[in-house]
Amino acid sequence: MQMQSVYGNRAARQALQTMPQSAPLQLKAAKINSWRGAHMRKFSKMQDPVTMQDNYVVEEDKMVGPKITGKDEVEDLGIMDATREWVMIKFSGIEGFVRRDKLEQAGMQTSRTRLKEAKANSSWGTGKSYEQEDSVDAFGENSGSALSWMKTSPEGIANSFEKQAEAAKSDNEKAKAERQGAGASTATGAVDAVSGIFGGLVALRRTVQSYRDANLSGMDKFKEVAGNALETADNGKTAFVGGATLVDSAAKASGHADGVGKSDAVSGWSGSVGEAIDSVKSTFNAVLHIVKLVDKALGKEGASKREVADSLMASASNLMQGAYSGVKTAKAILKIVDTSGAHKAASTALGTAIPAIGIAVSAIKITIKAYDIVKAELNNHQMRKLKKDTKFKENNVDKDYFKKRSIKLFGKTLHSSVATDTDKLRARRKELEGNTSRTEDEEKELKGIIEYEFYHELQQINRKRTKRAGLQIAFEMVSIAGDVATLSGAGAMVGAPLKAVASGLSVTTLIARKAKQYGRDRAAQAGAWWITKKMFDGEKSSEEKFKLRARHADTILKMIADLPEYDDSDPVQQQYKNVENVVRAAGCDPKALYRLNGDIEKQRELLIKALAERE
Amino acid sequence: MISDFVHARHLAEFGVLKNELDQAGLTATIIEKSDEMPLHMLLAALEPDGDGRERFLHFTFVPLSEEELEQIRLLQFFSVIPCEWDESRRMDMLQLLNAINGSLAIGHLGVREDGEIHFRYVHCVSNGDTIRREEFMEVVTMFVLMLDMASEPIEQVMKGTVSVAEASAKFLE
Repeated sequence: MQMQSVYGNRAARQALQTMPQSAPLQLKAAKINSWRGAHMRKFSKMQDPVTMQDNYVVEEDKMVGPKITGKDEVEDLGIMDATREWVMIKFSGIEGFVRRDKLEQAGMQTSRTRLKEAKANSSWGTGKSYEQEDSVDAFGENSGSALSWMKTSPEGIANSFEKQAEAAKSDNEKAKAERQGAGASTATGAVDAVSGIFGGLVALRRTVQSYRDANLSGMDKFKEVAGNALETADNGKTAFVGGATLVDSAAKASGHADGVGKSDAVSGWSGSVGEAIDSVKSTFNAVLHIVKLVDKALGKEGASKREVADSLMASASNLMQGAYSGVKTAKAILKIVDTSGAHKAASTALGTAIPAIGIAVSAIKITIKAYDIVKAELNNHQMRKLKKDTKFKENNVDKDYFKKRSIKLFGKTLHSSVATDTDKLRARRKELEGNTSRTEDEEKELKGIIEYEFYHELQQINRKRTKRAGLQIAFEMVSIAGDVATLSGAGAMVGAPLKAVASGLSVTTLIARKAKQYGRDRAAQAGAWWITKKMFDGEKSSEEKFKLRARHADTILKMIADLPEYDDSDPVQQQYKNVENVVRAAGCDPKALYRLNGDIEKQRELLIKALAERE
Repeated sequence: MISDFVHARHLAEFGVLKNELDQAGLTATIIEKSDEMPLHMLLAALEPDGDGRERFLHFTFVPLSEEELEQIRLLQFFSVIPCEWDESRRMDMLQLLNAINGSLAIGHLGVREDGEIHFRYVHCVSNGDTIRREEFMEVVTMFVLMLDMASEPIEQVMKGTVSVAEASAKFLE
């Protein structure tokens, strides 16, 4: 059964035949560079009777070998399992599988380290110059990366990063232990016009399950799976539980013993279509009500009357508990229908079949964002109440982790403040923590730093969350037709950013059009200025093309070298993900690039070849 | 049409710039390209203006391919001035905007048919390199400074509290 879902179609099968899954690629030293380390898993090997290929199946529950820390070096054997989520490595003489994303990041991190070193000791080099005979070899020099279908889609990358972020977050979520409210109503009313949008949701849920089980192998594969799911009964893995109401299931899902991280909100969701819509609508209204309440509390009148503000906020807080389970449901639905992000391929197909789904998505996103804003505001409010001693900053302003920041222009200082250098603060804390014999002053300093860091971080997050979520809400309005916008009744939210986004965009695209037009017009005229002619001619010599590719290759390497030190924070993970996407978009398999870590020349060549291939 | 590679580069660069802006206190967000948005956009929230109205600064790369532009890229800075348009002031505003434009270090002001006033600057950056962060931040600071300088007289002339002649004079001397 498993194999059937793995080798779903002929194309996949054929491609797999040429993929040397069982032939070990170059043995390369690698690192598990995750602060959590890793533990190898046991595996079993089977031969596919059809393709005669070796298949590896990872037994996720069975650990083998010693625990690997973030500092240990392992050997990357380069063999992947059937799901393509695990890679075989060797550590301490034992072979086992670890999650691919744990190694992949090591690849990018090692690239970064080596490139930074090269920059520092001037061994960056300038690359080979153009050679007349520069023939572009088939890009399949490194076995295993020849076939384009094997290059993991951006969705795959998003998934792997997302998973790691989720794993880290789940610990925090468990600790928070938010109460599952029973407030959101789930009146099973008649299905109204909006329900048409959700019509395909049921089928898609099954599809997503199958989609996740199978290889991520692109649109065609998905369409086939979707077709099967819609037509035939499920294959046992995607049992569809009918009858339970939406909110109950959502509550169950969020009360799942494994916590938010492990339990899949999608698998917990079941219920009728009518219930789905009603629940989202109720949640939407409930959250809107709360937003208005909070607005009032924080508004000009509220702020001056402390008690009124506090009690309004308290009501809002209670209501939030009730809205929580509804928002969770909305998030689950969003995961399914979102046409951007990790599940793009899945929902894009649905989107074309049901055009109005984009509107539904935006409405859901707004609900969630509004909830986030309110949550952030409530946190801020509570934090102000718990205001701790802020003297730490004043007493330590001359230490190097507080930096005086001034904005200067034309010789005048426009603004100055004392900003926190979080990197230096963290470094100092680590230094103090590492020092086992601290003086009393150092002890005080360490305690002060830990407390300060905590509140500083909370403040930053909340501040950003509020603003960012607000921006996102406004942006969502851009993509919604007038009807749904009025549904929210929040005309005030639609305003400056909405208009400006549309304006800014239209101007940008206009410039591009005009510039091209002007160039063509000028070039067409007799006696046209020679630069114009050259610029818009489009003809470029091979040498010029090569130089351009070489520059791009260097820029990509530079982007990697400029990456910050890897950690599991969102912004850093996002940056790593973005840069890896650039590599991918250039037509280069990141794994192939990482294998050449330490050899800039080869990496440069690889990138240049990839770029040439793309043209 | 620009290639996926170019789009991916833009996104990666925006990621870096976003962090710079965040650190400087201008909360920023990236709106990734999608069916509704043909380009990636970086959005920063500026301080609200004197009347508490929200202001935003949008960054987009002008979508020209390398066939068209080889050595440089064009990064557009764009901000809408949240001033309530009064159609009866159109001639005055055109005169004022022209006067201010003459004195701006970078960028220019413009007004659309529907009365939306914007401040726009198209910044040239190298195509063969990543964007220098400190340089970028200094340009952003300049942009905001110009924006702030222009906003007050625009508001005053629109409301009629200052005559266009008087407001323009400051920029012409």
